Amino acid sequence: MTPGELEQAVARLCAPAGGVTPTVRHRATASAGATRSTHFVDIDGTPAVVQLRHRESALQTMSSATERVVVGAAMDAGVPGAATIASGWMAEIEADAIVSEFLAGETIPRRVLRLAPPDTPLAETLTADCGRSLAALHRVGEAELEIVDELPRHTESSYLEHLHDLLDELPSAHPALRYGLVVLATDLPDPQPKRLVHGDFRNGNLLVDGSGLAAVLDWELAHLGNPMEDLAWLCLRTWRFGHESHPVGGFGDLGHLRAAYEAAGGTWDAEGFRWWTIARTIWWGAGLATQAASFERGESDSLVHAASGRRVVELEYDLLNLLGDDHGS
Amino acid sequence: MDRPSADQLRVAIAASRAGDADRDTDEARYLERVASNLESILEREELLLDDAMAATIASFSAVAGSCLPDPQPTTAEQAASLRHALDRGLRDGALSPTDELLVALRDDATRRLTIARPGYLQSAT
Repeated sequence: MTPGELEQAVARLCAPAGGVTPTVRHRATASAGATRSTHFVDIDGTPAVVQLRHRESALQTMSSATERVVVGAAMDAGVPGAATIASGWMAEIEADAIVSEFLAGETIPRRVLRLAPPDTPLAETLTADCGRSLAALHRVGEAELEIVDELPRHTESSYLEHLHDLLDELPSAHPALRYGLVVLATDLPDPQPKRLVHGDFRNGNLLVDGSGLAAVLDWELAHLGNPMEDLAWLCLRTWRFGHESHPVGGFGDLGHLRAAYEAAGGTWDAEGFRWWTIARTIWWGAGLATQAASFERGESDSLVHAASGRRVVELEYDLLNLLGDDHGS
Repeated sequence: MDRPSADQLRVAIAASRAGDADRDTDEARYLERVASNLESILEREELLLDDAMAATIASFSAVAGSCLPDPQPTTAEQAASLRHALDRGLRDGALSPTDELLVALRDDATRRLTIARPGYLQSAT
């Protein structure tokens, strides 16, 4: 796909019915993610962001049309986000696209941590913003979503089955991760009403500026499930980037996050938080192992995927320490 | 262990360097840092892994019980074989979570981290 082909496809997607086709100029391509690529464009001189998901994407994620509805519902509930300009399938370049307004700020975790170092007022504001935003998001339930049938649903039981399947498909054995699954199966949280869950709410998908949280990005893994999944994922050690004593993305304290979440109406479930911390640690360990396997099978030539294989043991180590807390060992 | 071979990594490093040569991003700098460190790390790891895996084999053998393959392999694949045996045992219910198994698994993970990512251990809280 050339920049010119992208410009033409975006122009057609953004053209109002019966109206004038806008002029689109490709400005830059941002780092391509595992499932989508991101491009900066100008639409009639106004900056915008185009995210493309190509047909060969390995990870099954929601369509751009569904994502647009999810983002809209979240923003209506009070979550800061980037408004969607257009979405749909671009046949010319065989990609599902979502075009959003451009917002200034930092998303690269180490830059976020330089902008909002731990124990600074901005870091505390950012932590509180995360708590408030998640509480707002989790107010959205099945009744508030018009596309409820198109969203995946996670129950703890179904998620356990999913994790077993992930491990079974790996060419290498990971008894540490399997051990965690056996423990989780004996300690299922009580069923909770399903709420809208972002699914990837962590340092890296947060747009941060000098005022705090400017927008929550990348909604492609959103689903209906237990709100504690989002809070646990945000606090995984893997997203602290060396700032180990600040569980919330490396910039914030758990107590501040919980206080902000509860003050905004969220209900904190400590057992659920712990269960999902273990579950998402296993998921990410299996995910890294899956990336490494794709490299070793020759399906990917990405050094990032190769290096992922070297990080699986980090997640195993974190998991075993989490479980060790239970055993008092 | 999900460790790509040295040859695979060298090919990927070359491809990444070529692809990111014109980009001045954190990701490009990260890849360059990985590339510059990886070859020396790999050489060191090859020497250390044999010792680490011998210790893992001993501790896993002590907790694997009836899940141990018979006859036990006597090659460098023994640690991987034991991991498969433990994984299968836990999956099928032949093994249950115990403190001893947890400690053996954690010691194994610690040994591998000591070699591959010592900084991760040092920064643990």
